[in-house]
Amino acid sequence: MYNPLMIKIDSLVKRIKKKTAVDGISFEVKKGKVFALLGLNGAGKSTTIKTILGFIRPTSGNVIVDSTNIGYLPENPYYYDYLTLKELLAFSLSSSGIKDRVKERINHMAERVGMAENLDKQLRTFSKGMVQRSGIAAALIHEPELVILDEPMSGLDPLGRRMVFDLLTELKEKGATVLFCSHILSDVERLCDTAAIMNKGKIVRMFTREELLLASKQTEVFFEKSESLKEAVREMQIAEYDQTVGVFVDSADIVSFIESMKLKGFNAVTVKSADNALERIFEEAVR
Amino acid sequence: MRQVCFITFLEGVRNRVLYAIFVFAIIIMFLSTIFSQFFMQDLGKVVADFNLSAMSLAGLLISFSVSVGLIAKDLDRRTIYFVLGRNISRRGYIFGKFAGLALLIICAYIIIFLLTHIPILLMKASIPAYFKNFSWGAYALAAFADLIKCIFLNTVIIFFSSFVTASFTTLVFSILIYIAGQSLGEVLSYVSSSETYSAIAGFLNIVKYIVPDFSSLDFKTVAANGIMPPAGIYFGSIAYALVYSAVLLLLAGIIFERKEFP
Repeated sequence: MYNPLMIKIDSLVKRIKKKTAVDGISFEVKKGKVFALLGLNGAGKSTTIKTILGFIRPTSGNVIVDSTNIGYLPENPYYYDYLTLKELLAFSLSSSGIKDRVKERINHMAERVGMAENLDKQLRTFSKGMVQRSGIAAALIHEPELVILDEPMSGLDPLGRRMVFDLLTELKEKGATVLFCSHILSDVERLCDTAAIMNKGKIVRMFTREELLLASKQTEVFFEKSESLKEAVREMQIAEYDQTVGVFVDSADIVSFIESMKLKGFNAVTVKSADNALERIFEEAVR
Repeated sequence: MRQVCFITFLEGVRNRVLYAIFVFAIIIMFLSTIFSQFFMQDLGKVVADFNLSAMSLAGLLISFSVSVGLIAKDLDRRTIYFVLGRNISRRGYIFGKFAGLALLIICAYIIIFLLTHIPILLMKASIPAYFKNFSWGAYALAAFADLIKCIFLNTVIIFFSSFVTASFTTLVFSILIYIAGQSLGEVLSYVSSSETYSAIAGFLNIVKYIVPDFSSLDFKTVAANGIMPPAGIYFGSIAYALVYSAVLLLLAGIIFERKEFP
């Protein structure tokens, strides 16, 4: 029977040496979708990924993964120093049982990650960015159904980040399921179908691409900070600053909102387009 | 498993430490041609002993430097994530690592064994009178037993690596076990000969069944004297090492399957 879910995590708890790294999280990743896990360092993202991959066992809860054809890029990957990139990629292919067009696949993938000229060099001679590119190539060369990338943009220059972005877009178009962690919010914004923000082991906010797009269409209207203002907009989404309070309003309703607030005695100080919607959501969630 | 074996072997072969060990072994081999001349009557014996010891020492150095590095560093540096993130089972990883290391050691031993022929043949050709008792058969059997000992030691290293995370701790444990296994027999025979140490002897008699007895695979002295080891003792020792190694590998596989990699 066709299972529409690639990953199902139910009430996952993971304690490591008395510390609760993951605290009862639940989420699902549908097949063919891109799911992003966001959060500050130590939020529990990598622990969640390691549980999905079976490197660690859950203290409680369930993790179901509906594929064994997985491509994985660890955070700060470390490979075999004395292997060449060609050997690393050949190992990736052979360990996935792929024996046909090996040379062609290796050359193509090396080309895609901008490492074609380094195929015969040993990995110990590579810079951090080159190791990251090699890791991405090793994770994707066997055309996995499920791709799990832990900080794929880490250590990459702007061109490298563009390359990863293009690869992920291509994977998405091909129908692969992607789960990735990232600190680069703009990439998450453009790529993911669903994202979850983790903080202190918990999922504190989850949103879809549609919600994110909706949030992007909002405008932040600033007023002088006061208790009466907060009371007046208590039904609305706000952000508090030192001197002001920002109220998020749908861009289409901005004029009528400012007018109605004026009638209540609150004059808008300034307005700002909320084009950094994810950043705002992220800051609010982890605050 | 085959893929892990292959990359382990490649990593080992390209490790510069391996070449330093080869150079060191060759220096010892050729020093045997100089030092043996201080023992004229026993010249053949000393040359054989020196070369077998060079082989043994090279095997130990490969095990303690290259092998420990190849396994424990996978865990230390988290290279293991890359391997286990593929379609490779944990047992497959352990057996693959063992196969790769065994292959590396077999190749190293074959090369060193062939190289040891040079000083022996040189000395034999120049002073044949002192090589009357020398037996290539006994020499080859002692070298083979030493190879098995080295592979046995590597299963001990793999066993420790399966539950110890730091490579340095694995190294220390392996060295201690090797020293214990190599000297336990002698210590036991010494304490058994005295009634004062009867309690210690009783304890060591139990320990000897737990600690791998590496000394049982040491046929260097009989080979140096040109004596063929008794078949029963020889093949019994080889079988003991192989069975013990198989048990250690199985245990390592079981432990490794339960291990977590946070």
